[in-house]
Amino acid sequence: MKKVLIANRGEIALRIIRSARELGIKTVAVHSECDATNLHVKMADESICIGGNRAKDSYLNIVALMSACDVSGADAVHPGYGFLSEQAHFASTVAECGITFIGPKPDSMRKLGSKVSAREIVSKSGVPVLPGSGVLKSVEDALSISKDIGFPVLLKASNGGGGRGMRIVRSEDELKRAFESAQSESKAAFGSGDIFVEKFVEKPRHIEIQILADRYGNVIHLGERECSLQRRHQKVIEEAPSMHLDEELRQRMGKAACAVASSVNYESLGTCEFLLDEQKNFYFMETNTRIQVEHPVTEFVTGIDLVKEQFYVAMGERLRYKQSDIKLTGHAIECRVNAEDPYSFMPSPGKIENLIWAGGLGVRIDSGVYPGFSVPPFYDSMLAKVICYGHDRKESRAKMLRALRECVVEGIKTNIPLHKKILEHEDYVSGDTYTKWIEEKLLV
Amino acid sequence: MKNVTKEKSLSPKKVNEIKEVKSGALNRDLLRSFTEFMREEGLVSFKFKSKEFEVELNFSNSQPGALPLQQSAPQMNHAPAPVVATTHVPERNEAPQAFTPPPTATRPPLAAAENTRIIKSPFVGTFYRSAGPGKSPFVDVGSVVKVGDALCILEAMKLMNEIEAEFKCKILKILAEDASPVEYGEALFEVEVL
Repeated sequence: MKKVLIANRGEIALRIIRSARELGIKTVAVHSECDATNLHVKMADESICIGGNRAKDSYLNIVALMSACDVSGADAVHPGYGFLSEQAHFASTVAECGITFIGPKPDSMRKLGSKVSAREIVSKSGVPVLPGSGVLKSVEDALSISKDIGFPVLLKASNGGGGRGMRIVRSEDELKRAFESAQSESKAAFGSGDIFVEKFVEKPRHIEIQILADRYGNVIHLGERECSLQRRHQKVIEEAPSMHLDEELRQRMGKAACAVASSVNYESLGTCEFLLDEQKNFYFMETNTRIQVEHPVTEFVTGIDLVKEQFYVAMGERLRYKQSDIKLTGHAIECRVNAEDPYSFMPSPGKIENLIWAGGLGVRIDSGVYPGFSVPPFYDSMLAKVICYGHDRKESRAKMLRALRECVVEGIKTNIPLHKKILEHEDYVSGDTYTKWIEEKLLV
Repeated sequence: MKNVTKEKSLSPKKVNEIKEVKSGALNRDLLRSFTEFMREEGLVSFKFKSKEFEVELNFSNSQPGALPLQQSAPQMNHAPAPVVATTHVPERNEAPQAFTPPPTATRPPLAAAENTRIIKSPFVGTFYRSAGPGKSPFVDVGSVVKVGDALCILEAMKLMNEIEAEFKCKILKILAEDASPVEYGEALFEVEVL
């Protein structure tokens, strides 16, 4: 592999450039007009402006990306995360042009990309999925399925989201009324009265397993990441390992994730997301067929450069590790620092007047911004990831609080105060947090 | 595109200096080739950065002394010579006859600055001046084009796209090199709107 084109921007583009450079691979940055001053553009060996500021004109513009590959002579493309990273048709276009796509094969992406098809494949592999139904035909149908699943259950609108057309049902008695009201609400909100039922997990935890596979059928897992601290389905703080997993559960979940990967002949990095209930039962939710934002916490606890491993796999090498080589040591926490008001969560684009990042032993900053940089309003608001590593959770938490105090970002607002509030909370220390904790407990 | 930044200014700067930010391997010959390049390309401002040094060159409108022709007729059809701060005045050597105006073929007429526009590349691809090897270019300097006339070909992904003029204009300068890659927004032609 001689030259990789990075089809992304910001901190992840920089991350990819770093590993590529260490491997002696030349880098091509592509960017929209407003991103010409981006750090990854400055750091790459070559750069090409590919289009207008709107993502669809640039980072989602497949023709422009392929043309950039053509003119630069890139023989590989790394899609990063977001944008086109999970679009199977982009992966196939790249492959059809004789360029190596650093990620899984299009077929794997298609199979795991749709939640419905993924659930089917996964349950065939013996991996538990959250019990649920298809569209319910009647109240009687709902009742019989709910009894099978076991209460409490959640009635959900098939075509919806945002909590509308959703009802928690804790017993048979409640079902009829809940069914009727969910149905009418769904019809009013989404134009369709189709609802289905799913097992309701109280206080679910989001635990994801990192997997790595080569093209020879070798798959390993690199342990879990605890990602329960979310707001509006966006992760805020991630850590590894999770205090809710013991080694036995870790290996069981890891095996399940590897089984999912093997069932679709997966290649490269991937993450299996699971819901963990209070009884420590885990249920498959979905697979992300790309590198994840929070990969640094896994890198800290395993000592493995995940982006480099993606490159090795893409270059046709066998996995350099056996499962028995993987050990999680110490504890890592990542805080996503966003350009937003810490109380109202309104985005805060603008010019960064002053910027000083924390440092010291066990502090890593992955960021694409610098003093004088203007945060554009067209893309996500993440400025940086602050990741801290200590011997145990107590130490990494203390280090993160210390590091957050050191960070200075002036000119725009950031959510650093929110991170401090979370880390200082007794529920965080005791681990008594779950996916709705920030919204239900912290912000109330 | 990275590595060489060319800055074009439609109205000539009044600033009269070279800023030498660092001067490691910068020497007179290199400076001379920079100024020649600027003259050929009709540039009024030029920045260059390498590992050893950085330099910025700006053309001036009024150069005291060196070319009396400029002083008496400020609206000349040529870009004035650059002035190098302190160390040397290369233009004395290059224009020994003060009354011989330098060649005007590649210079933008200053009086028409307000009507001048840059036509930029609408996407990333390879720029071709003609429809095929051996064929004559679609336009040359001085060509007058009307709406819909082909200016050049931009090849992207093996597809040849003819780029057409969107307004009537005269080609003043061809800014991209034939058969070379161009990025989105890169300057292709400098034209005078008619």
